[in-house]
Amino acid sequence: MVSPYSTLDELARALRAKEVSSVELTKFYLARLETYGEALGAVVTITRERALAEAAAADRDLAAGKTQNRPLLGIPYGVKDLLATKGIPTTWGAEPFRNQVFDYDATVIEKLTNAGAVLVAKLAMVELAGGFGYNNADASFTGPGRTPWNTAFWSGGSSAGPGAAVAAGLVPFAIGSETSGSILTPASFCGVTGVRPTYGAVSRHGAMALSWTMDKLGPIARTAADCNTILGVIMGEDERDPTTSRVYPSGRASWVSSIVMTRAPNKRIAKIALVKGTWENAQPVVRENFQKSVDVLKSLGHTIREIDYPDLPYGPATTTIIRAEGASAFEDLLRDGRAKQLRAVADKTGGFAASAILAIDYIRALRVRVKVREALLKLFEEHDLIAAPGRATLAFPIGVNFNDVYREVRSGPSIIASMNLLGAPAVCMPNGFGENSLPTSIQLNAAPANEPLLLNAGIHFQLATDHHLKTPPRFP
Amino acid sequence: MPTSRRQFAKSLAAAGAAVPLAAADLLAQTDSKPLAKALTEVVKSQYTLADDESERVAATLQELATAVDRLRQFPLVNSDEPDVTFSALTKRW
Repeated sequence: MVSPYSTLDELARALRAKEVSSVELTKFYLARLETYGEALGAVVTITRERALAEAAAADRDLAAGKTQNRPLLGIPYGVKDLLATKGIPTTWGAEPFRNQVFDYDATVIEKLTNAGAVLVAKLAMVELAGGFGYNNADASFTGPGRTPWNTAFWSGGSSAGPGAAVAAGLVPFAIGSETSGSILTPASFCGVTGVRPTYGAVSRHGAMALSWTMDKLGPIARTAADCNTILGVIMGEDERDPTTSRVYPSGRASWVSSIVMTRAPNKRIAKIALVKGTWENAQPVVRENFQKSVDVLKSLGHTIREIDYPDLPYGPATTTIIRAEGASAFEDLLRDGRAKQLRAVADKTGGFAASAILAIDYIRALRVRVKVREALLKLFEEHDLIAAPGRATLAFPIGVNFNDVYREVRSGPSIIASMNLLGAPAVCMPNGFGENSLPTSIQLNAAPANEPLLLNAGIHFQLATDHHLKTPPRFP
Repeated sequence: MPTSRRQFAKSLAAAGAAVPLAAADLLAQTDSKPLAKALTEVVKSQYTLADDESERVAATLQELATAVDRLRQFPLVNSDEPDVTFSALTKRW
C-alpha cells in the first residue's frame, strides 16, 4: 500500500511486488503536483510527457526483472529548476531565463534516468539561487514558496520548491542545491530531511553556477535513509565536472549505497560536539526541541560534548566569495541590464553592487578560507559530528522582510556558513514543531567525505524518533 | 531606504540560501563609507542605473564593506595562499 508519504524503500517494494506500476505511481504524483503545486509555489514545470515515457520504460525493466542495484527504478522525483533538462525549460527561478531551454540533461539527471527514476517536475527556487541578496520570500518569478505546514509561511530558500514538494507528498524525493544553506533551510522549514554532500561529491555539470567554489547538489527526501539511497545513485566522478574527481573516485558511490541499502545498519557510536551559542539563544521552541534531540542522541550511545567554536569570520568570507563569484557568473545579466527584471527588489541591484567587490578582498576571503579549513578539520580530529539546530528560528512569514521578524533571536556561530566554506557534508532532520504548526530541525555535520558516518547517525536518530513520519494535514 | 548593519546581517542570515551571515559577524565595524562611496561611482560608470537603483547599490556596497572590514581585520602573512590552486594537469571538459 503506497501513500503520498511513502519512503523510497516502501515504494521500491510496492513496485517490485507489482502492487502498483511506475505509470500508476507517476500519474498519482502528477495529479498531486497539478492539484497542490501552484498553491505552494512549488512547481515551475510539470514534465508529464517525459515522466510517462520514463515510467513506461521503468515498468518494462521491472517486468523483465532488471532491478538489481536499482533502488530508484520506477520512482518519481523532482529537481530544482537549476538543473538542465533536454528540451524542457530550465528557468533558474528568474524572469530573464523563463524561456531558457538546454539541449542536454545535467549529469545528476542522467544518473537518475539511468537508474530508472522518473522525472515528474522542475521545482521552484529562489531566483539565481539567492546569489544577489534577496531579503524576503517573494524572490522567484513563481512567487514565494510556502511550507505545507502553514502556507502563510515560507518554505525556505533557495531550494524552496524541493522542500515544499517533498513535504506535501508531491514527489517522493527531490534534488536541490546548496551554496550556503539552500538545502538545510528548506529542509528545516518544511519538516523534511535534506543532505548537503561534500563539495565535489556530486557532479554539477548542467547545474546553474552561482559560486564555483561553493555550489553543491544534494537530495531532499522524507528520511536520512532515503537521502542515502539517492546519494548512492548521484555521487561519483564526472569528467565534465573536474571538482568531482578529486574527492570521489569511481566506485565510491556504490560503497556509499551499500550502507544505504541496509535497512538496519550497524549503529556506530559517534563523538558529537555541540557548538556553544548555537542553541542557547535560539527561538525557545527550537532550543527545547534541540535539547530533546540531544537526549535522543545520548540514548543512542553517542558521546556529547559542548565546545567553543573557532572565532573566524565565516559570514564575511562566505558573503565575499559568493557575491564576487555570483557577479562574475551572471556578468552578462548585469551588462545587458536584465538583472533589473528579477523579482526581489534587493536582487534587482544586488549583482551590480557585488561586481564592485575588490579582487584583493575576494582573494583575502579565499586565504581566510584556508584558515577556516585548518581550524574545522582540527575540530573533526577530536569529534565525529557537529550538531546544532538546523535553523535558529521557525519559518519566516511571507510578506515581510526577514530582518523584521524574530528580532530577539541570536543564532551564534554560523555553522551553515562555516561548514559550507569547508565543503563538509550535513544532514538536516525534523525534530519537532513550534508555534503556528511549524517544524524545527537538527543538523549534523561531518568531516568532508564522511557521509557514511553522518547518514548512519541520521538513520539511527530517525529510527528512534517519529518527527519525519508526520505529514501536513492540509495535504492528505 | 538604507538598512542598518544589524538589519543587513540578520537579513542575510535569514535568507539562508546563499549568504547566511551571523549577525555577530558584522558588529563593531570600522568606518567604510568612503570606500563604499567610491565603489558606487565605479558601478555607476560601468552600468546604466536610475537614481533609486544607484541608491540601493550604494546601500548594498556599504553593507558589503562592513563584511569586508571584518575580513581585513583577520591576520594573514605572505605565505598564506588562497584556497584556489591552478593545476596544469586537471582535465577540463
